[in-house]
Amino acid sequence: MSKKSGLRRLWRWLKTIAFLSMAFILFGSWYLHHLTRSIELRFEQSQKWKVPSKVYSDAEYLYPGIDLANKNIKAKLNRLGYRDMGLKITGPGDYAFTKTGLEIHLHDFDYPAEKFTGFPIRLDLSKNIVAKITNLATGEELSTVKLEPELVAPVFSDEMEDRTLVTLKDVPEHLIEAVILIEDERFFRHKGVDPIGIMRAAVKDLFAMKIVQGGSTLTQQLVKNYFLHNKKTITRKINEALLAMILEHRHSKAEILEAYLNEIYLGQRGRSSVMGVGEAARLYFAKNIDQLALGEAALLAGLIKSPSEYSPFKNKEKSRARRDFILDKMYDEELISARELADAKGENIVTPERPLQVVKAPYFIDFVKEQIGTLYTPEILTSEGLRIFTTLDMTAQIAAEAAVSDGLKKIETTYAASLPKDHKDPLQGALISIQPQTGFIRALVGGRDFETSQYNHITLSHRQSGSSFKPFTYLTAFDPKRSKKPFAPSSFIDDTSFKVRAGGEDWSPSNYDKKEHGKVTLRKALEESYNIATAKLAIEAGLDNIVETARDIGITSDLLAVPSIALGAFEVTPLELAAAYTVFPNGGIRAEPISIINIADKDGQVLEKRSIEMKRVFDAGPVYLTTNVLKGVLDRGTGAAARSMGFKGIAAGKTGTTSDYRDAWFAGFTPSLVTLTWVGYDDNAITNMSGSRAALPIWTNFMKSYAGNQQEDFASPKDVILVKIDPKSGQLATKNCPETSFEPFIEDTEPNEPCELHPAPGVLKRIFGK
Amino acid sequence: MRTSSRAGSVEKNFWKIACATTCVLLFFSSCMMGAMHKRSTHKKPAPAKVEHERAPETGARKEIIRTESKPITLAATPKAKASSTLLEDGRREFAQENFEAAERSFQEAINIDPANGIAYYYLAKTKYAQGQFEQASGVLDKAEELLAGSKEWMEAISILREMISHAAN
Repeated sequence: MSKKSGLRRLWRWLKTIAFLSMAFILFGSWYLHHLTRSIELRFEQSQKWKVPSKVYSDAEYLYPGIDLANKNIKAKLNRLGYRDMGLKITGPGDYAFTKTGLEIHLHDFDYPAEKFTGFPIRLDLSKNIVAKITNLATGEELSTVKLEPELVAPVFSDEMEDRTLVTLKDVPEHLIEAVILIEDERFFRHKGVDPIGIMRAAVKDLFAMKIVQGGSTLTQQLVKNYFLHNKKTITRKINEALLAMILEHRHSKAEILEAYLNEIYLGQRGRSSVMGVGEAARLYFAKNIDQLALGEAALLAGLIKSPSEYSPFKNKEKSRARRDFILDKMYDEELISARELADAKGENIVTPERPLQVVKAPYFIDFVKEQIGTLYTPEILTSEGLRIFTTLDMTAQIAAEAAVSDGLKKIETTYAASLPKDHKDPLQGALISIQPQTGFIRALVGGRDFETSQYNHITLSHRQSGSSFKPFTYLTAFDPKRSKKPFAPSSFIDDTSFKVRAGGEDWSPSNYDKKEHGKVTLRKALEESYNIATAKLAIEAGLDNIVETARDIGITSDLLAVPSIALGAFEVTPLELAAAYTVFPNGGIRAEPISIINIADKDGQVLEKRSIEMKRVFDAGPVYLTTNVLKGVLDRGTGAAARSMGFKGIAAGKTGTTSDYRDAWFAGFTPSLVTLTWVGYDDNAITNMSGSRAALPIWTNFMKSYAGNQQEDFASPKDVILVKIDPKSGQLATKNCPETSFEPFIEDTEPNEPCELHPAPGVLKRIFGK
Repeated sequence: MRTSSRAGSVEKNFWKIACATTCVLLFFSSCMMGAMHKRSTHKKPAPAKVEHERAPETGARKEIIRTESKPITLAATPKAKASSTLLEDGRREFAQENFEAAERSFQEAINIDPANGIAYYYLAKTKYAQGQFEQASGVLDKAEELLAGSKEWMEAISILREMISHAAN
């Protein structure tokens, strides 16, 4: 009985054990499968690293004869991550100002469909002008070189990770050796987990009575990085170990090492994490990974332990000590020779200037993102490493941001009394600058501070254009094909108050100075921005014709053929208005503004491209007449403050102040640049600021800094002639006219009558007298 | 007799010599003046040529200055020189029917020197070759504006314009 029951019990036990072990095996294999799946998924994913798309500026061309005075070349090189070596360049990414000029070892750069391999160049400078460019590698003289586009901003996912992928064969041997030596000496001897390493760590932990050191292998660190587990608990450790073993079982050491080198955290660039040795080489040394010197490789390996502690940006001495420690260890292990050790220790740690701001032109980037958002999903943009090449000129952008921010501060201090008291939102300002012949947007500042308001005033806000539209009224009047009646800058118009019925109501314009000026020339009326004269001109030229002009220059808002249209009583976006102004320096051709040149995938294949688009919308003659008058606005009229502020370049432009002083504008241009500035409040509150007081100083400071005092004049078309007239009568000057001037006309519209006020005696009268 | 005659000839010839010397001096000084004048006005733009005409019907005196058509000078300024290098690159690519690369070079040429009319012409030609007729026509407008001073270029432009409008229809 007892024997029987004993057997039964044993059987029951055996059954339980069998069941339990079955369950354990089942659970275990399920768990292993689960772990395998999750790690494989992650590993596979990481083979297609999430590389953020990057937005680049336009490339900068350098050629003999170019004046670097307005280019701020040193700042540009620093932004591009070049390193100032003092007197002599030693390798890629270096620059040095020598006695006679500037030497740069150009970076490699993958342009869309074109790989550029960097080489050293010398720019011989005479004052600020490039006299000669020499390729120092070949001695060849070059007609042009381009500095690679600047990284303006990465388009991140929420993770804010920035990396440049490397393959194992790109990574210098010394770097691999150093990383393995310092992080996981037995990497090639273990199978994911290193019991010897763990024992060593465990002893240490035991002495400290807490976990102070992990015996983590590279594989374990990689696993840890994948799942971002920072807590050091036992279960996590076991999981990590299991995952590491699975990974090792399924992948080669080389695959794991490559993944590790691309995944490891190596510091911060602003708010984004710099992941992997490829991006880190750029951040700390401005180099491609294969260009690192031995000392730099050792330092990079040393940074893995604690990037913030050993960062050469922070503490050069500490990072030098860390580097030397690693170099010594490499020497002890006979990985490097004594000579190499000495040379590497002798290396100066030279870092490029640290970029503080990750996103440099936030409103522009936003505008670009909005456009590419229609082409690609956010998933693609944040992971596929697309490269978006834009028209932005960072030198212009920086000048623009400074001009807007300084300008607004100045208004607030100088004119505090005029501004409304305790207005809840800050005064806003915006600027856009376009190269008129290509439509390339060179700079865009959409508002005062992107952190506090992301609203892009240039591309989104609809504001009354005010007097900044007036030039188009005059342009219509000067165009014999558009105007009901021919006009020229010397024609007269009556600046005397009048009333018209428009839209069932009486409408009567008045001037800003509340005065009437009687008979004035169109030149005077536009220079001084007289409302009455301009409204009258619009009526005489034909209101329908003004509407047609507005359409041709690209104004899309609703337009009514009423007299107030001439004074800009309709809304435009600043972008529209700036694009409209391209017709002036462009001889009547309107260039479509563009911000993206092309988009390439990470292999350099061009996915999208945008190219220059333009169209003739006006004849060159009337455009030139208008430009000619607008030059006077800056030289004598409402824009004269630009001259007193020291801007001497040849330029033309127009102030704009909307009714009740809600918007202040200035739109101005040189033969090669159109720039528009706007100042106002978001809620359309009254600023009490005129265009010349608020917007013009911002425009002027930007133009002084970026365009300089260029003396290239606007080209006069063939059908424009200058005729000597008497400005009092507008008729041909005679010998008796006390005052004469040459005024432009479109040929065959010039006056043919002699001055009635000062008639010249005829031949008979001259002989016989009265 | 001889002596007196010789003395007389010297006296007679004195005026001749004096005159000749004065002439030579005047000539040289005028040359010098001219040269100095030239030097002093060297940097200033040439004064505009004022033409005198009679107005039709009224017969009144009319003084006008016409726009002198600028000759198309290749590579006159540093940026034009740099631009023309890129233009040549583009033309090579164009000849090999690498239109994408050609377009890039022409755009870059324009980017450096927006007054390079020839680059616009070739950009238009490239766009035409790629079947972008409307864009080609717009860019050609700009080429026309910049190359107005050259008969040969205007001819080339009008041929291309005809080709574009023919292809577009």
